[in-house]
Amino acid sequence: MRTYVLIFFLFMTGSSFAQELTRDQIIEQRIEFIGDNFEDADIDLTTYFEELYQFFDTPINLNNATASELRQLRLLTDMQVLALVNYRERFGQMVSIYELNAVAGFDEELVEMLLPFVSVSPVVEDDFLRRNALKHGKHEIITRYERVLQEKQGYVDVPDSIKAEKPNNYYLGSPDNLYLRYRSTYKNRISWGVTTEKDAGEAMVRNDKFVGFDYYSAHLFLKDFWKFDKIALGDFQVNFGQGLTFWSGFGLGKTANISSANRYGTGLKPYTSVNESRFMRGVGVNLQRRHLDFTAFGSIRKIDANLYDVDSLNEVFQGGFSSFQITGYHRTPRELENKDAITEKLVGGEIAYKGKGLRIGFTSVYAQFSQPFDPVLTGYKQFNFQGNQLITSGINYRYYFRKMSWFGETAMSDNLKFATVNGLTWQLDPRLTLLSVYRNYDKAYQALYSTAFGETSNNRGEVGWYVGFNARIHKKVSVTTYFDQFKYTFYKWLTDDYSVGHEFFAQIDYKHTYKTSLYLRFRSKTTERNTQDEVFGAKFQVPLQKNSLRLNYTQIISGHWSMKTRFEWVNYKLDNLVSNGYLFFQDLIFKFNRIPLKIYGRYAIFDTESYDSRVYAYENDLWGVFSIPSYFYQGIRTYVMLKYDLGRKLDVWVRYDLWSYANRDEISSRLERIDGGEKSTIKIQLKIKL
Amino acid sequence: MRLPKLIFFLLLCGQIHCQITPQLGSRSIALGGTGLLHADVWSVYNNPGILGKLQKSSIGVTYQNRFSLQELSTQSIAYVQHTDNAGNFGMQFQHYGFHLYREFQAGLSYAKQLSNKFYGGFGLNWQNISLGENYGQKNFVSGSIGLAYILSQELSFGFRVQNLSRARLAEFEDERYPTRFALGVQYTFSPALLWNVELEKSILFPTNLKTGVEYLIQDVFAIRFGVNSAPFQSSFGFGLALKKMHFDMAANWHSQLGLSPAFGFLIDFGG
Repeated sequence: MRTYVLIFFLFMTGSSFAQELTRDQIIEQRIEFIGDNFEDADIDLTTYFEELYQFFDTPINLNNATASELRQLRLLTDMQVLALVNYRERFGQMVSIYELNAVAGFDEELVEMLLPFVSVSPVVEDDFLRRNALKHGKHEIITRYERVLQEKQGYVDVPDSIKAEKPNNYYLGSPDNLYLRYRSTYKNRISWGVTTEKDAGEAMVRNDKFVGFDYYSAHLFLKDFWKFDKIALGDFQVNFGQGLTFWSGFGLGKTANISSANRYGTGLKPYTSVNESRFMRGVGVNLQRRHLDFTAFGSIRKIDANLYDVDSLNEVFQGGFSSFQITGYHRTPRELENKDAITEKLVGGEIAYKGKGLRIGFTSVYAQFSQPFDPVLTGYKQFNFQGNQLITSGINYRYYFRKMSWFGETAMSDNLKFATVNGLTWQLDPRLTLLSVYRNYDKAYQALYSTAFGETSNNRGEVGWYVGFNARIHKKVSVTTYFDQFKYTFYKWLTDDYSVGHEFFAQIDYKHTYKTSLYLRFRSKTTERNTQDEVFGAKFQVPLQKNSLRLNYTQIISGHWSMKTRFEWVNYKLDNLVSNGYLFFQDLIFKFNRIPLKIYGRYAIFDTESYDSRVYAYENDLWGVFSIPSYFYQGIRTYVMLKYDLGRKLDVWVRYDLWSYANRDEISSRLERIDGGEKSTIKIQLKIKL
Repeated sequence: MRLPKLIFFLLLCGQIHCQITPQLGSRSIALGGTGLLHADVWSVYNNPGILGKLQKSSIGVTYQNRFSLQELSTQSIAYVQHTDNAGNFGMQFQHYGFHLYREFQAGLSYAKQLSNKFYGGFGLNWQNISLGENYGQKNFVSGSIGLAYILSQELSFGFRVQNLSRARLAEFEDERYPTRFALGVQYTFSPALLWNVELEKSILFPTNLKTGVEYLIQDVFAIRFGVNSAPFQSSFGFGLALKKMHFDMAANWHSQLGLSPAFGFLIDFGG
């Protein structure tokens, strides 16, 4: 039986489009797909894309990949991972990658998507040799230069005497943004590297002394080394369970891909990004023995914070800091003052039991600061964390039963306040998946690195229920929809009462052929906020509604040309304040035949009545840079990017972009202010493979 | 009668943000100003993308009268030189207005087939606007690009931007000539019946949804009907297609300002 299936699929692949789309295009599509699902300019997905490229370079061998490795691809649902593992157990090793078509829950489209990241080869005995690691490792250097061509207020050239009067009104460094990275990997066994960056405005020379880059990061990550399954040294990331107790990376929530509501804590991971606030610095180890999965880590890191002034005159030593600084910018004397102001020590880990279809983990993390965190806690901040130490512990689980996958986490902070999040993924039919998440976070629950599912960024004071469906109605048509209803159990920013809200999302995807696809997306979110009226005393709540409608058309025309077109309308309503935003864009991509050059271009026109009705759109950017800017006010946006592959060793990117606003004689404010209505950026990047 | 109407028009212009430069050609005018996917001589201006699809050389002339006011008339002429391998070359001239407000433009376009069923082109326009006797005049150059993709026998898609670089009219208030971004689809029910739907956006003006239907009653005789959303106007017209000559009549109807008739013809060479 199996042989026939195999032969059938081997023949079938002749007609599939794998040959027409290059691996490069598939990975680009994947990034774009994910990018289009987000509406947030600040999300940092570098780590995820690093992983994706890693799998691209060293595809996962489906014959020995573990369930957690398969999940890291973020392309497969729980059920699909399980089906694949079961298939392997039943039929033994796979012979061809196209055998995937025979696995329950896999279809052609998914297989195409997986192709660049997976391989099928016989499992061989461990051939790991330290000598090979050095000799056959892949080495990669990336350098990037970026600069805004218009002069910002902070860079205005004035004599030092004027600068000295108001030193914080000027940036110390040049407007160039520099980035340099070296990374070496050997299969997925060893990864080590250094990342450095200087943001625009940061100085490499201060007081005539060379201080170098503003940010350095280094990591060494070993897999299956000696008695350990994972060892992390230097900078790394740690993610557990559903992200309620500890999750140093970014958490995804409500997106057009419903399965992003379900988190997979993957434990230790190497860190190579330039986000200067969310990572660990120290040591982490992971051990897996039969049913036991043990992870422990320790991190000591200087972090940016606003310190209170020490009153030396009266010799009253208050100490403490009022807030964390997470921007990572050190461009002015004031910003520099906050740099590395306190030391954060973290110790934590997880002990998990892994059984058949079940995993239960106990996590606990202890955090200590060199000075007490002493923010002004009034109003909605009343129950925030303060002091200089915090212990947060939790239990997370994942349980597979028939076509259901139950997952969740319950955590408690050392003030004995609880938070819980529980969910279910249920494959009701091969073509219909349901995902539901219930969360209940106490208003005084405290965790420093939590990013579990929900509306509030710190998982506090929220009760809500989310239900999402993904239905493949037809070979060409699929529908994704979710509904989320929530209430807050405490005040919030600009909300002087306990408020409620709900969100509705629906998207219809129509794939005419693999070349022509179309989607229509509708999103509506209603929350509450203080009235804008002048009211004596506590302000009453009025509804705040944001609706958006997007129509997107993607067309692959030929081996050379492809294009994307979009129309989006955003409508924002707060009480009787209404504002509308519109965005139209046309993308065109051209790939040369003879020379390895690819050109990306966009021309967009936008018209939004205010910042509130801004529209987000993903943009093609340099390798490793992920941009989803918001389009607001009125104007045009355009960019052109060239990507040139100089052989196998060297890739070059050049990108120019422009914002041209109508009716604006300045852009941004304070030090970032640009006179005139135009802002353009030039970016150049080299990637060298050794 | 005439002067009050003119003043009324100019006043209303400010309120309804009427766009001075419509689509060219009586066929497009009758179809509610749609025409991103008409591969005819007017594509030189309307969409240099679809110009690439034109299979013959052609010349066209149109006269449009806004709101039956002699002062507000547009005269345009366009020519396309088709080549078999080197693409299509086009040029057009337009004149609008009278001695107190006059717009003149001359443009060159180039378009070619980029791939199977995919066409692209660009245009360069030189424009002159002169105001009154004392206010002087302004010359500027603007660029346009266009694309057209024929998805199937029934459906095609078009895109065009006019005035890519937001040509500056005056330093004062940073006044710019409007940039117009348009997307459109054409659905062909049968060779005798086609339907255009287009969206046009200018940075400072509301989105204009335009639609038009053309029905060939007889091999040589077509009737057309169209609607525009901003400003709201309906339009209608008919066309007579002889062997190498096409005659077209059209009219826009604005409920306050009245009728704007247009007529024109085009002649094909070779092909």
